[in-house]
Amino acid sequence: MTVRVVTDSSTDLPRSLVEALGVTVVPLTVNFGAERLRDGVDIDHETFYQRLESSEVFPNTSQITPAEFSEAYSSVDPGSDIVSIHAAAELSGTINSARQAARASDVARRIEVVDGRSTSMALGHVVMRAARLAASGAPLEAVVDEANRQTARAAVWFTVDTLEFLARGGRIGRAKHLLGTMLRIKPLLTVRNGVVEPIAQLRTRAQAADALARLAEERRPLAALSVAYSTEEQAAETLADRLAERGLLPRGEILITRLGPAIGTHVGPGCLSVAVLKAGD
Amino acid sequence: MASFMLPGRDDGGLIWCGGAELRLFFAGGLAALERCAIAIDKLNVFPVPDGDTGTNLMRTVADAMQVGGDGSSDEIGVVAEQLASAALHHARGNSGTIFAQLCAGLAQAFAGQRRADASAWAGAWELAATTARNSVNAPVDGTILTVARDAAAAARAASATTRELMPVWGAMVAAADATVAQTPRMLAVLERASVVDAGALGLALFLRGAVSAFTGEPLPDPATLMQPSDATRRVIEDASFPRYCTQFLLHASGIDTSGLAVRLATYGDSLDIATAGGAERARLTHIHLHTDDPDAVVAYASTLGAVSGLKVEDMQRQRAMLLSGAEEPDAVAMIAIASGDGMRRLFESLFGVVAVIGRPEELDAALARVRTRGADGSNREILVLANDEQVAAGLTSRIDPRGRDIVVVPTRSDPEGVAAALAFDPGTSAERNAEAMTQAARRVHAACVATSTHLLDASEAALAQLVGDDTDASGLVTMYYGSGVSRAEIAELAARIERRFPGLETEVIAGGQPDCPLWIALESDER
Repeated sequence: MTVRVVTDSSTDLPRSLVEALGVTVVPLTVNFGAERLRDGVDIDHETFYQRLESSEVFPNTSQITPAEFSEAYSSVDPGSDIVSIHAAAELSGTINSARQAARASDVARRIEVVDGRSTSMALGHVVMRAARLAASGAPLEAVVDEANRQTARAAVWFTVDTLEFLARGGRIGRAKHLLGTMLRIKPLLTVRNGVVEPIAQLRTRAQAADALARLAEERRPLAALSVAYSTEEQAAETLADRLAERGLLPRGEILITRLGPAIGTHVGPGCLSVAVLKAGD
Repeated sequence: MASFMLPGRDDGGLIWCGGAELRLFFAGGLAALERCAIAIDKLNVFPVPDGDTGTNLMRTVADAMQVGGDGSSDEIGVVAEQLASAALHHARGNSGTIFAQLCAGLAQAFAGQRRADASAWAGAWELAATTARNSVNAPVDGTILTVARDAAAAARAASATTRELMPVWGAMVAAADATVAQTPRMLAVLERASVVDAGALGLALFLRGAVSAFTGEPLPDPATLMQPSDATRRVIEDASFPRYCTQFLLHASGIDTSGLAVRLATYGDSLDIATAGGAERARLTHIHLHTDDPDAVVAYASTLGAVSGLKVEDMQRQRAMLLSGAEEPDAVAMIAIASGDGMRRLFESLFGVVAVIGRPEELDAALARVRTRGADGSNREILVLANDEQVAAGLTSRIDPRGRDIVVVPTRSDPEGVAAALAFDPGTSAERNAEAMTQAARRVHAACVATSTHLLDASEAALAQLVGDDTDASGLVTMYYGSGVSRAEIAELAARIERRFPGLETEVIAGGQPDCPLWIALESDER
């Protein structure tokens, strides 16, 4: 039986890549007040950030429902098994919905749900690896193993202009201790075991970008590397150039991607992020 | 997106519950319990504070889903029977046993049905609530039994006004929540412990999660649930109860359950006798009781039929574990020495600072306040931000002999102290922190503009000295102005600086410090 990979729109994989890999991306919903917009379906990245900066209401996100997963699974070729890889349970109820839909699914096909323990491109890299292996004809167990193996090797760090978006979205995790600081800080954060954790408190974007580069460097040798941004594309390009100059990976292998509405809702404008997969042994 | 394609979905609303919907209902309930089991466990005081109500309920439902929810049928009667049978075989604890009897009631009501409408659904829950109550030897209100009864009544009332299932389910959730909130008034031990009943809460959360599988509402967040208090702890410590929770399946035909109850009650309490429905009816009985002598119970039961699936748990040990599980504050923290209202507030706002004192002489008093950590009385390590060269020297000579758990960070000024505090890492020892924090402090170049006459010119000159003539300099200039200096003046200074050095950001803090009219602190970006 062939295997297809399903994920959710918190992965921030570029659409062209998703299509090339044959991955099904189930959209989370971003709400501006009563208006419900499916990430990447009803609203694109550019429109989202324009609204984020102009809107008077703060958006929030809704997890994908079990019913939506049931529908997504049934839209996947019934002749294949499914590996469904999602953001950490601590960050989003989405994976619980996936598990419920998988449990409620019929027995003719197997659906394995994998907790990516993180989100955004840390998850994106894992999904890419799993999808490549699936495309090569590997069986379900091998794809699940690969996803779990790469999950352990994935890491993501990010810096935000303000903690306000993480706090409002309820995803601030242990970085809540940094709220209320009377100084302007550029917090440097990571997602560890599904929880947002502070790594450092920096004062400027330049310091933060420098720290992102150092963190990625500490993980060498790398199998994959990406830079993601919410609104500052130039900063992402500059950082990617710098990572290439430092010899982490050739510039052409460093993926630059834009954070989608699901993640953008929780990090806000000015977010810069680096994600890596450590190379295997 | 098109509405989802479950068979029970009609134009707009759900009016039938078939097998697929029932599985999804249970899957949602399970998801809520998986999230909240530990939080429920911590509230467990009745009938016995063994701290496992949530986990028992969750594992019972999980096993029921695992075995009984395989998706091979879309008939509600078949699915309910599968779930009930699996729940009975895998029931754990009081809450799990009662849950299994709720399932048995549902299975009996749905037997032979392909799907249920709102009225049939309400009727099934009424039967479920009665079946569960009858299985308990001495039913008590303010428990999961009361929630089941009230949720069923709410379903009945709602089904009289609508044929759609969602409002009926919504009414069950609301009634369950309301009853949970009332449980302390129904059961004195709950009121003494300042908690709601754990099993009651478990069923309410199951229902909430079940409905959320259809609405997409977020699952209940364990962080928002009631937390145990000192009163809870006292009740848990003081409770006396038999040592072993004992459960097993008894395979025997024609058991007289009321006679069995009378006999088993002599061995202990918290007796629940659950019987199978469907094909296993009258052949299989699940027994749960608390006793000091599980061997005697099993020996007696073996005279009646075959015993299987025996589970014995030491509840006294479980209580000890429950009582020891407290969360501890970080093992290292900071005390800052600073003067001026604004400066003190600034330090207080920084992560990891637990006290701010004005003079080094106040250190002992501050240590006495903040040094003890957690309930065991152990000390935490304290980093002292001196923020003055002489103070640092004085403290270092005074503190050193006392050991390694108080470490002075020799910051020479308030701006250095701020930079040091921002580098604090609660996961690292005081000694290693002091090293990293001192390094961070030295990366800040600070100058005190000591005159308040011609402040702007003097400040610009001071900054030029820090930056050099490099107009391409990039970084951050933080200005902390003291008492007797106006904010307007400093705002003008900030504007001048940004004109002259376009690569520098500025930040202005009202420090109110008495000792220096204006601190200018430069942090240059690395190149």
